[in-house]
Amino acid sequence: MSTRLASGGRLIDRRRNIEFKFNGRRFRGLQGDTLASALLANNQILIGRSFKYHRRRGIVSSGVEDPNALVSVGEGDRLVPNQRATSTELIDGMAVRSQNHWPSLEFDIGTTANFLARMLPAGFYYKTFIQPRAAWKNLFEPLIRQTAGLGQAPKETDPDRYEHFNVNVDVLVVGGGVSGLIAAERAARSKASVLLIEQTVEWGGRSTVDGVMIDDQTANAWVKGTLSRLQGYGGANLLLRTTAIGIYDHGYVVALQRCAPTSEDGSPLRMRLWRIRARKVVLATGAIERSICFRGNDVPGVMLASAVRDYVLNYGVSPGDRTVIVTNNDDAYRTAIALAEAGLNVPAILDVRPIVEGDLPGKARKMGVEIKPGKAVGAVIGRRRVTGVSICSQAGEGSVLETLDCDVVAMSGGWSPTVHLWGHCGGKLDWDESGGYFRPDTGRPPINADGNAMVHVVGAADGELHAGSIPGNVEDRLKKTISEIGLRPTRAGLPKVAAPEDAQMLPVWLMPQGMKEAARSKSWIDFQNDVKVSDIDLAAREGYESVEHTKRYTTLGMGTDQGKISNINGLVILSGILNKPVPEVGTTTFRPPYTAVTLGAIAGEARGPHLFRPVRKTPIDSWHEERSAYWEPVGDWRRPYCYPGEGESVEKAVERESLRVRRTVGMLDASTLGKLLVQGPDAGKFLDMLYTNMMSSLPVGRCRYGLMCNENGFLMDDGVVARLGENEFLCHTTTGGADHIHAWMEEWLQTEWWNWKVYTANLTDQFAQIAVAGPDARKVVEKIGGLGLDSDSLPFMRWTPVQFGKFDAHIFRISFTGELSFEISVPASQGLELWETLLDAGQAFDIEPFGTEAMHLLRAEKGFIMIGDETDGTVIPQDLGLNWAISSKKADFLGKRAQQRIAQTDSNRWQLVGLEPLESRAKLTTGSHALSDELSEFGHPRMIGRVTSSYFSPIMNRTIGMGLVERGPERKGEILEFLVGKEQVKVRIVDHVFYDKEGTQLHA
Amino acid sequence: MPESAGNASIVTVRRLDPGGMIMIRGDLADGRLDATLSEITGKGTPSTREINLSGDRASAWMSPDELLLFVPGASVRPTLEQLNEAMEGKHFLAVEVSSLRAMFEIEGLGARDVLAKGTPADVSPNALPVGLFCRSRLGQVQAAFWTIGEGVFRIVCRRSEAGYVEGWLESATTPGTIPGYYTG
Repeated sequence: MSTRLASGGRLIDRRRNIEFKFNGRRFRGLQGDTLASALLANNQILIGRSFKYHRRRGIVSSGVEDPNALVSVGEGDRLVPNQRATSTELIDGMAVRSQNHWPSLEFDIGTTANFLARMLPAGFYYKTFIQPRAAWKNLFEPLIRQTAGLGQAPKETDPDRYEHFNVNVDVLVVGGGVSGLIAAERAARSKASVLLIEQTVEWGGRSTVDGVMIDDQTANAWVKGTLSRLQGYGGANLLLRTTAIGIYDHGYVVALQRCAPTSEDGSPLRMRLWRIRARKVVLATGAIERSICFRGNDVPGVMLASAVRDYVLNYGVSPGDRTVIVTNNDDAYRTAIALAEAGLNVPAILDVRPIVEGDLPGKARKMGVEIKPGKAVGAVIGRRRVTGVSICSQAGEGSVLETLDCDVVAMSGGWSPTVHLWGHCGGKLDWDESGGYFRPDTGRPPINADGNAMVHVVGAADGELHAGSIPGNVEDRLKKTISEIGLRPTRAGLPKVAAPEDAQMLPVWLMPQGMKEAARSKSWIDFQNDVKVSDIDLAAREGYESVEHTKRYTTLGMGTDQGKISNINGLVILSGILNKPVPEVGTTTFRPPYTAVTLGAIAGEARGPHLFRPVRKTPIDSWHEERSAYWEPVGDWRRPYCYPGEGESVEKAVERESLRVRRTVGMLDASTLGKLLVQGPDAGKFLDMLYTNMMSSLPVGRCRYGLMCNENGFLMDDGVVARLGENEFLCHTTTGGADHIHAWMEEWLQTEWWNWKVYTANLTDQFAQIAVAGPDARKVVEKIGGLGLDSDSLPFMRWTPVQFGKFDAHIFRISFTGELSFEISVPASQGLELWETLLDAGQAFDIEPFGTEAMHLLRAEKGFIMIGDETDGTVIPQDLGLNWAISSKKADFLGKRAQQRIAQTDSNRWQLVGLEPLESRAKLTTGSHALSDELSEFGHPRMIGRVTSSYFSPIMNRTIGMGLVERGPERKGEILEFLVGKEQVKVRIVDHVFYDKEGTQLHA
Repeated sequence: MPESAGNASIVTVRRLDPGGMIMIRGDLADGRLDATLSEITGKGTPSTREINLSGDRASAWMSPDELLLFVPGASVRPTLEQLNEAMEGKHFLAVEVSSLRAMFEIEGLGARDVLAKGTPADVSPNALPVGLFCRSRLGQVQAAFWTIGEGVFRIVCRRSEAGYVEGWLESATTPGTIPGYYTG
């Protein structure tokens, strides 16, 4: 029976009852309980089922290290699976469900796996699901996925709110125990800004439970005093319920704060992800108790010794009336003393050490607890829960000497420093033979940019397990920490910590020492993933020598607890089998996160329609929205794809819009186009290097279409360049390319041509730009602008600054539609007004706005290429028949050299052609490939081309396309077959200009 | 939650008319530029990371060769002429960018906390006092911000991203979500 004791419990408030449900049954807890302590108070020993064999699992620990106590908390949209009951604060009305069983926790069909355990050894998956091949995809994988995984993922959107918060501090102290508190105070006294975070709900760590005296006060009183002093320093911030989950380069630490522990808190925020940039990180993360491997050590009721006393002292909960303690160290005696003081029975302490002396055992003896030196657990008796233990000699093979009745077995295999965070960023470890643990190798810490340690480690985390030595250890490390950030450590008296001296522990991992085969397959190392001693045996037998490989083969430490209490056990047992010292076997790599992080916390505020991803909007966006534009994302922008009328389909709208432009006039919001100002005495020379064609020769007032290639010669952007003045050019880029091309320009100017006198300015957002295109375009603009827009004053590819009605505008005679076109540019703040003015002026000519799809269709009819359609990062301008835009006079330009390479001058390259399906309305999907009759070297039909753009052209009344085809221009007239879906579509290769080949419209 | 002026939890957001803005690129050590800026704003060229505030005018350091000048909208043209005249013959760029950016003001004791939700930059009072200018990120976009007096920050961002920034600020100023890190 586990139950609530009549008195005691440091953390609970007995006056405040809390109701919650476990698997639908009503339970009562108290304010201050964790879910685990409340479940134990209700005699709920069985909490869940293990991952592989579905064995009964109970609470093992009292903190984040617990491998077993995973439950689903909440319902519906607030369901959170795999929550650790031992570190989850109890909330009124909490609905809790156990996991990984069917139909019920008590009776689970999956347990059959347990009976089959002999047939499901380590590596079972790798060996079994190989033949027949098809069965993996259709049978094995679906079946395994069905049974695998612990909790179920929630199916509804999480309604809770999560946020990020960034801070920059001198010193981040992780862990609010005695060493963390001393460290924080030391740093704050020296005028460092300090952030101290603690993952639990109280400060002081183990000192407050274990009755340590500090400066002749109780630990509790000392902690209170320290906290108030810390707050007085001003530069210190303290956070409870905040777990550091990862340490990254340059002192970047991510920590997760649980903000709303109780329902009545009313905090609208559930979690806050702290993104901390610390000049120094001090780890005061303490230590974690280890389990011991003995037969039946996974039966509910077998717990860590420290957890047993935590439940008694912190929560006033007795895990059981009779507790047998099994240990290899003195610390477990604290549990015996706590239990005895609470009036609970300790039938015996099985201590594997042959001689047991020292302060704590002495005290226990005095209290009448029987100590059995040299003895061990032979086996745990009981299947559903512990009912007793058989006792054997540690030295032997397990012959039963006697049996004892009990309902709890409290085990302690010693303590391991919590070194996970130390390891995240490359901190190395040392094997401590006498303590049986890895401790940070402070000579090889994670390093900062200045070559100094990025992380210092103090207290138990540093392997300093004796409380009395902690102040000296912290002082030593903090002196370094503080002076390395350029502050002077202030002198101050050290607190004196009084704790009984612990005698030497005996590194014992297996119990008894000569454990037999049958016991090895019932002795658990990893409780969550069902890894037993026999699995490590098997891995070693099959040749696994590396601990990293053994980990993956056996799944040791791969559960959600990451093997916090068991990794060392597995490692030492492996080293024993391999007969190699532990340091040679090594340890596995620690990676973030230290504890699981809810995905919502990582997303932070970046969710929902407005904040998930920033969408750039033009000054005319609100008009488009009012007009129910059908949107298309282009780069980071949203642009109208088309403007469907009432009941009109998207396709019909595109047809209508394109015909409007061809027949009368349309207008397009082109504000998203990149507009980069390039200025300076060397601007022309600079652009000559950037573009494939000559820009320095462009007269002022004129425009020229240009191509930009990267160093490999591949086409990466195109656009019209206008010469604004002798030393001033405006480069238009593609919508998606503006930021990249601006960065590209700056990179060359800053790294290679740093002495060229050129300045650039990305003016994309400064201007709204509207294209008025169509045979009637001039009539529309002349209605507003008046003078100087006729074809003589402003012919094709000219630009002019003009007082355009009330607007101070630049008008460019450039065209992407192939029609007479004016692009009018005004400051963005006037964009919407200009749009409405043009719309008004165009009414007489039935002007209509057109979207990006009509624009794409119109340009394809004219055979104009689109970056991203006709190019894909492997296409050079020569492939697209753009040789006319590649200057042969220039000594150099970016990409020139690369374009002379053999692969790029190969006459077999795929080149741009027009595509005309023989059946005029046949669909020709972009990306469809043309297959040749010949076979490739792999025995497939050889691909000789692909469709890069395809549209139904209303003006041509047929499907048109562009594509890249091997020796394309030579094939004009030929008929190729393109594979569209499963159909072969016959396509004639034609010239890629379909409409107005002479350009009469364009030059009108 | 009681509402009062001293409540760190209340931070207001306003979109401002940014007035006139001019981008300057040039040699920031140039004496003539310093003198001209003094004529325009009453203060010389700002040093690294600084913003020289002066009534309705200001000049902010954007990069080792870039400044952002704030002047009243009507003064943009004469100011551009003044700059170009003064810098005649030197490699120098001054261009109007009044429409390039949107401006917001947030006000309240928790204003620093609001910024810290979205920027990795150090916004503590020591690191970002009056007179410093910070170009960084806010949420997922680029932004710059500076304080004009305790509890009041101005933010500029791209015009095209103003909608996102406004939504982000509204979200970040939700009462009860401000941790009070910089207000104690």
